[in-house]
Amino acid sequence: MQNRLPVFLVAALALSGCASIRGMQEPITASDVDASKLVCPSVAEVDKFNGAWTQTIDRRNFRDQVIAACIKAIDRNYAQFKVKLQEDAVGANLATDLASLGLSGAAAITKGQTAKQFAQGSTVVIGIGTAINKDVFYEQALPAVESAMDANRATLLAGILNSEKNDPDATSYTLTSAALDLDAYQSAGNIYTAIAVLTKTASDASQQASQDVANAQMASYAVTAPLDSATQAGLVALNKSIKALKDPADRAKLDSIAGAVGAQHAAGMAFRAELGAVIYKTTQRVRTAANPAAELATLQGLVTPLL
Amino acid sequence: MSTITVPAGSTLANTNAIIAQMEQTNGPLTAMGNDGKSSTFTFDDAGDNPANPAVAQASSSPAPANSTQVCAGSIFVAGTLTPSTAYRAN
Repeated sequence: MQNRLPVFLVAALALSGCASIRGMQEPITASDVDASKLVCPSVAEVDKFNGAWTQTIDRRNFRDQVIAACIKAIDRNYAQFKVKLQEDAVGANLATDLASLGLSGAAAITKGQTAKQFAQGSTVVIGIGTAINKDVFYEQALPAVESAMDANRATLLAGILNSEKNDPDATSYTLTSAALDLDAYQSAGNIYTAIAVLTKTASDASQQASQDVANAQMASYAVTAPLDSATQAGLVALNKSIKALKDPADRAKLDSIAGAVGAQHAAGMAFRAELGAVIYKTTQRVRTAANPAAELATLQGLVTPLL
Repeated sequence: MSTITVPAGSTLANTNAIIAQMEQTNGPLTAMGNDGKSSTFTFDDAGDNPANPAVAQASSSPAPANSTQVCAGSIFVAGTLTPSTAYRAN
């Protein structure tokens, strides 16, 4: 019996098990719009739209009314989805926090093996909270994910409204065409798609930062004559000591040196690329200085303590 | 990568001395050419420093024995744009 987990821990595991979060909004159903509909727009509506109508104004009005009803239904489900998303995240965190607090409190007033089990269980529960509920992720990333979903939906909605506006006779933007756009609009209420968009945005920003650094590195400078032998030897030795740094053990040193010499480097930049940026900078500073020997001495004073 | 410009009036000896120093401090020469006003030379800053320097010469001259071509391009030699090739002794 002593090896059995305390009841609190079992309860906490059960609570954590309930903490899964739905990743996309519920698809609209018949009851969301009209009892006669199976999809939005329904087959009956499409058939009616495609019928032999002669009044173009009727076609347009009918199309726009059906689309508006579908958008309203999708928006309603999306709003419910966002509320549920918040509830799931908060509920999951609360369950873990309470379980952890309960176990810690019990350990404080219990002696012997049971106390050990409570204390060990508390650690396990906190670990579960980190692994499953990912408090930091939800607190910090959820708003960004929701913003990305909102942005996707706004873009698609604008496309639908523009398509309606650009086809006042409802001859080219039919309900069949609109159905595809409405499906995409509904699918935009999806955290997986939103995360993919955010990841791409972050990746693009990272690539731009790396490109900026590369561009900065590529800025050419004029060299008119060789350095004197003493300065050249000193610069060779300085750069050699920097190139001796190893990845990943000396990453912090390289970052410090890059900052000290004024080498441009982006967060997450590859070690080799950052090393190149530092070498570029030390040589550029010496070779473009009015007094190369004095500049070398300055760099040695900056770099040597950091090696 | 570092790219330096060398004045059009630079002699071939002066240019090669600069190339040799840059390979010692930065890394191997990877490209050479011109921007219309000066010669340009590019070095791989993160690359291993070569034991033997790259030496540029007119492409019309025969390749040195026991050497490997590094790169080629038109550079200014004493004010004249000259098709050139850089070789490194093996």
